[in-house]
Amino acid sequence: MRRTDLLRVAGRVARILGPEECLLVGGLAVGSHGYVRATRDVDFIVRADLAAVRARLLANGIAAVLTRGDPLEGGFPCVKAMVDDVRVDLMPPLVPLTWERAITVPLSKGTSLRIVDLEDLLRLKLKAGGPRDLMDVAALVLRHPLLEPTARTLALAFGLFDALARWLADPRLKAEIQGTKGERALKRLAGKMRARGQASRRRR
Amino acid sequence: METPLSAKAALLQALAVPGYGLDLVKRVQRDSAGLIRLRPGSVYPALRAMEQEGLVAVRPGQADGRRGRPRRYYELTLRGVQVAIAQRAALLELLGGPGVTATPDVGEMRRQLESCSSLSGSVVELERRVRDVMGLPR
Repeated sequence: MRRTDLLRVAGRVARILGPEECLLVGGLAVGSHGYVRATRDVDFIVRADLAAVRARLLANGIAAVLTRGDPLEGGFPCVKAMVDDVRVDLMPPLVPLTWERAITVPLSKGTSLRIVDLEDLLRLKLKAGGPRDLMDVAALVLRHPLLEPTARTLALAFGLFDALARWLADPRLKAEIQGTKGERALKRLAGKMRARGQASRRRR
Repeated sequence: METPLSAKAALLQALAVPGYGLDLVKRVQRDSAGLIRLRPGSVYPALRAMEQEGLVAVRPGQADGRRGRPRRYYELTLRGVQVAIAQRAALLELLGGPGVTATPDVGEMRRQLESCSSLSGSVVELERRVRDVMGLPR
């Protein structure tokens, strides 16, 4: 059985829809911005009408359904597709995105992915507002400390100031991103030993 | 100088992040380097009109000392987001391009994307094997 490869799936979808027409968001985008974690699906924001997106996927042999979502429950319409056993969600813009700030990352075979920029990603995550989303925001802020004032201001506007503050203070998340004192000391020691080994090899 | 945007158009752009009336007025002024100043007399009718058109939704915030009255936070609806994006695109077209240049480390982003994809593949594979061993449906 072929190994699950989310990046290949994302590249294939971007090739079908046109790399300029879809922005990678979700777990893979979080990973590309520095918080690498496992994710099960591939998420895109698309510019085109969702019915047209679904038709395009179907025309390329990809099973896809259009779900409407209940706006009263905070739901939104979404195309759900399945590519090589990987779920792909294609959503309309849920916050006003600055499309021109998205980052183009070239992949193999001449394809490329447009990845949502960090600030828009934070707004998308805060709009979603689930526990995983807040953890992602906090992890990205710990990874990019200059973002902290922006993230806290955004969280205040989305009514999530206290929730984000709790995640930012979480010692387990801090340890995961920055490493514990012991891990940092171990890394320093390993670096010193490597350098010492290289120096002695050169002397010989 | 005459304000170059209607209150509604300015508010739609300021609402990229939810906010309350006075906050939005300050935001428009700050983000336009003081060139666009909205008056409360135009802001609240515009927000009410946008609410009626289904462009914004209102949620009460926490009471914050205004004699115990909670602020009204305005947030774009899905339709509001679409209109804001379309208006922004039209404005950028009119003004001749975005003028924004991001300089992230694309090579590093690609490496991290690959790590994330590889890690996710391993987790999915591990879960499959555990399910197989335990005889659970996939």
